[in-house]
Order: sequence, then C-alpha cells, then structure tokens
Amino acid sequence: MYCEKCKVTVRGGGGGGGSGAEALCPLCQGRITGEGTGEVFPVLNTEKPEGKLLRLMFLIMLVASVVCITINVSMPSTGYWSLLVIAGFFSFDLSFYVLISKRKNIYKTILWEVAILSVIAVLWDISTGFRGWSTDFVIPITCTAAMAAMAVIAQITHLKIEDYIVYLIIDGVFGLISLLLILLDVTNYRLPSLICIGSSVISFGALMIFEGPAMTSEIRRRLHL
Amino acid sequence: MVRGMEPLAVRRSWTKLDNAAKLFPPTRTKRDTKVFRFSCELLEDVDPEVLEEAVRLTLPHFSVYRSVMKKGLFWYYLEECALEPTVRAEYKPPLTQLYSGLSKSLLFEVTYFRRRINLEVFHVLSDGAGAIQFFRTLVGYYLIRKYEPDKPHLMGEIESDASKQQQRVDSFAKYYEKTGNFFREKVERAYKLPGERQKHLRVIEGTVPVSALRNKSREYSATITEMLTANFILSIGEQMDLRDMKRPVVISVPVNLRQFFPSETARNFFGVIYVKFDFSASKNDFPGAIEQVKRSFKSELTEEKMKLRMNQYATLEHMMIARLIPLALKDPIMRIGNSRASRGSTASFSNVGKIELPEALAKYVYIISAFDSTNRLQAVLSSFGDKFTTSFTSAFTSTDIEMNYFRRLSEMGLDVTVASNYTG
Repeated sequence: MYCEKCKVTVRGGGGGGGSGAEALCPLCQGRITGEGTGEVFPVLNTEKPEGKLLRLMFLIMLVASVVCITINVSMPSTGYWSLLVIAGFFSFDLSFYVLISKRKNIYKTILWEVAILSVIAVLWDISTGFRGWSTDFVIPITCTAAMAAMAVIAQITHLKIEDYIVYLIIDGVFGLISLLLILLDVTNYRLPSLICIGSSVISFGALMIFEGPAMTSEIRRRLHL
Repeated sequence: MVRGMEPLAVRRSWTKLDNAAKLFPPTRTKRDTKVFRFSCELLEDVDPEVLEEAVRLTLPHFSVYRSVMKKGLFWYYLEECALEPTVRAEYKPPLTQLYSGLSKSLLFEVTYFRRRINLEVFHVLSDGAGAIQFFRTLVGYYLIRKYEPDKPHLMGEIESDASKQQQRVDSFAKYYEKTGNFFREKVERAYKLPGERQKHLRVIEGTVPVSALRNKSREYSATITEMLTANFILSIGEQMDLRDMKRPVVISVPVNLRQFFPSETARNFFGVIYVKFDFSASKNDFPGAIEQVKRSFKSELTEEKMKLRMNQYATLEHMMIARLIPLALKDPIMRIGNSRASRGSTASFSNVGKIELPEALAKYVYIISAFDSTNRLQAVLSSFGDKFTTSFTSAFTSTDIEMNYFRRLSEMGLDVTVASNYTG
C-alpha cells in the first residue's frame, strides 16, 4: 500500500481503521491506497482477566461498605459495627488479592496469609478490648500450621531446597515473634507459642542436619555483595 | 520435610549481575520494561516445530539464558534453572515485561507471527550486541533445519570463536579501575517530549536501501549514523514550540564498548554518550545539524572518555557502603537516581549495527530488525543485507516525530517502506 502524503510504501493488512475499514498510514493517519500484504504485527485483545475480577470485587466491596455505613448512620444506637464490617471486607479482599496475585508461588502465598491473618487478628483483638487470643493462639497456630503445610508441600512436590528456604527462614522468624511475646510476658496461654517455637527449632535443626551444605550455599548467594 | 528431599550433588550455578544489569530491575516501568526485541521476517510462514527445535539447540551455547532472576539481600542475581523455553504464537503486545517478581520465569521469550520470528530479551541478560549472537544462532539453526538440513556445517560461519567462559565474562568488572570520584556530573535538564501517552508501546519500522542511504550520507561527508541522528534531532525540533527551544534536545546514544575494549562477552558491555543540540543557538538546517552531530560524536566517542564514564558508574557499585545497603532500599534509591539522570536526555538513538547471516542462509530471510522498550521515544538502527531499518518505539499517541523522520528520508529520494503495529 502507498501513502501519497508521506511518499512511503506501507506494509500491513489494512487493519488501520480498526474494524476492517480502510487502511490508514501509521505516520500521518491519512488514507493509503492499494492492496494489503498481510499484518506484520498481530492485532490483540489486551485486557487481563484478573484485572476485571479484581475491579468487580472492589466494586462489590464499595457497595457493601456504603450500604453498611448508611444503615449504621441511621441507627446510631447500635454502635460502630459498620467499621468492623468494613474492616472485615478489607481483610477479605486483601487476602483474596494476595491469593490471586501470588498464586504461582504457594510458599509466598502461605506466608502472606499468615502475615495478614496475624495482623487482622491482632487488630480485631485490640479493637474488642485485647483479650489476648490473637497473640496466644492465632499467631503461633498459624505459624506452626504454615510450617507444617510447607513441609507437606515440599514432600509432595519434591521442590529443591533453594526454592523454599527463604520462606522457611521467614516463617522461623515468625516463630521467634512467639518467643518474644513469651519473654515479654504478654501471653496468658503459653502452650501454643511453645509448640510454635519448638517446631521452628526442629525444622531448622533438621534442615541443617540434612541439607547443611545446600543451606549455606543458598545463604551465601542470597547475601553476596 | 526431611524424608524425600534429594541431597544436592550438583548445585545450580549462579552469576552476579554485571554493572549495567544492576540498574535494570529497579528502573523498570510498565512501558520501559527493559526488554528489547530482535525480529527476523522470512519469505514464508514460520514453522513452529522447527523453531522449537532451534531454540532447544541454541540454548546450550548460551548457558546464562537458562536463568531466572532472584533477589538476594543486597543484590539481584541470576541462577541457572531447569525451565524449558516455550515457543508461542505472538500473544501479547511487544516488549511487555519478562521479569515479574512474583513468579520464576526465563528472561527471554521466543514468539512467532506469520513470517516473523521474534526474540525478546530482558536487558539483565545481555545488551543488543550480546543478544545478536544468540539471535543469529537461533535463526541459523532454524534456517538450516528447515531449508538446508544437509549442510549443518553452515553453523560454523555463525558460531563465535569465543569460549563459553569468555562469553560469560562481566567485562565491566574486568576493566574496572578505581577512579576515586563517582559519577556526580550535574545533569542539565533536556527538552522533554510532551504529549498524551498510551498504555502500550507503538512500533513503527521504516526500511530504506543501504546503498542509497550510504550515497546520501557521503554527500554530507558523514556516517549513516551521524546523518540519521541529525535527522532524528530535526524531526524532534519540527514539533517543538518556540519556548521549548530554551532547553537543548539531548539524544542518548548507547555505545558498544567492545569496539574500545576487547571482549567476547555475550552479556552487557555498553556505555552511553549524549549528543546535545540547542535549537535556540544552532543552525537547524540539515547540513548544519549533521555538522553538529559529527562534532559531538568526535569529541565524545574516544577511548579515554568511554573508560572514564564506565569507571565512574562502576565506582558506585564497588563502594563498600553502597554495597551494604539492602536491596529493598537500593531499589528505590536507584529509581530516584535514574529518574534524575533521565531528565538529562530527550530520547534515545541506538545503533545495533549490521546483522549478518551466511549467504546460503540469508536468501531465506526478508529482513532482520530490532527495537527497544521506552517510556517515551526510542529509535534503533539496524541493517541486514541491503535493508537499513530505523525502528521507533513510542509511548505517545502522536506519530509526528516518526512522520517527520521518514518524510525527510523520502524527500531525499529514498524508497521508504513502513510497517507498524498501530491499529488506529
């Protein structure tokens, strides 16, 4: 095809108008004459499916939040329950988003879930008067469960140690938080935290015993300067 | 957790990023993904099975391409992996990101569309000059398998003499000399291209015959690159307002350092020079612009200057204090530093050079070209056989600069052929 204004030959399929209408010159967007020779670049649909789902979720969350606030404001005697509900929506949406976006790496997903659940639980606990159930139970139990899950997954998928060692280390760090809470004497029920710390120590010990060289090699490359 | 884990007899090998590569992960954006593409257009549709085979045969020659990028505490690094590359029909817009922090994937991708074989490479692996070798090997294997299966010796004309080790060398580190001061040149603000930008990059490739182009450049006593750089500058100038002209147009030109310092590396080894043009002060007719560009190239493209710049950049990387900053902090710091530095240039103009194939294989190829990602506007020059291509990638909706550039070429009497992914 040829553009009279630019005096250039144009290769392409003639898809310039977007709907099979007449072809346009890519330089001046003017009309070009002649037969198309076939597209050089494909014409593509570029919307990502996850984007749509996420935006829909946000919309639903927005609608629900507005409805709750409206109802709450018209019945002020029932307290600020709408704030709790909105917090619930946020945490749910956040978890969902993390699940969707980190779905390809199961270890990262697990870790993020632990973090989110812990934070939500602590905030919830604090907002209802801090009875301590978040630090005594939720944190140690989710950490231990995460460690167990990672172990099981490692068995099933036969992943190499380097792929998940970072997450094991981070989860171990969470275990240390349990230790910290005990030392700071914040906890009432110590058993869950002790189990969590124990699991951390055992996992690390076992790792070092059976995969010592692999661990040190991995640590060396992660920390290289 | 303990039972069933294989004790590792062979550790996956890993490589530190070279000095240039360290800058790419933190400075990526949605448009400037630091991915570049080589395209080879054949005379008939691509055979996907043969292409897959060609990729499988090529990869062992370039072991660093079989890597994923991982995060250390202080730096990113490349680690060998067992992932197999897949060959797909082109399914997304050109130059979308190849590294996502979320999942481990190879840092290059081979796609095809009708008659084109595309290779996209994340800049962390290599620069254009380094990737050309990979691309030529890939296309070489394809063409031999498809058209000349009884002449495998033709690969010998493509294969590099360099050893694998030489190809993996970090040449920035090899030639590093402590210069004492790190890069702190005050960056003068350059003219910034204005205009509405769109989500996906638009590519416009324009081809002219090499012989005719060379004759033209001889008329101006310049090299093709110098003449086309001047063309680029003037094309930008034609769409500038008068008051824009108080800032100079600065074109950043990547320079292949292998021409100054011997290196066989297939990774990054380039420097950048800046060609400045002040529309308020200079003669802006074509011959005048060409003279100015020639002066710039002459003064900037010297071994001493390239060495100085290269070492100034590298000094920062070698300073212990800088090295000890955790990656989580380094990334934003480098991003800020980069955006300040990018204020000093208007657009980028890169010359990948001549891409060659053995004569027996070249006859199956229509054209080979290359283009690069950008936040604004970037041009890549390349030539294959008698075809010289300028490939523009642009984030802007306006095509004025490309139009000015190619119109000037056609007005000079050259036959220009244009192709684009522009869909109106």
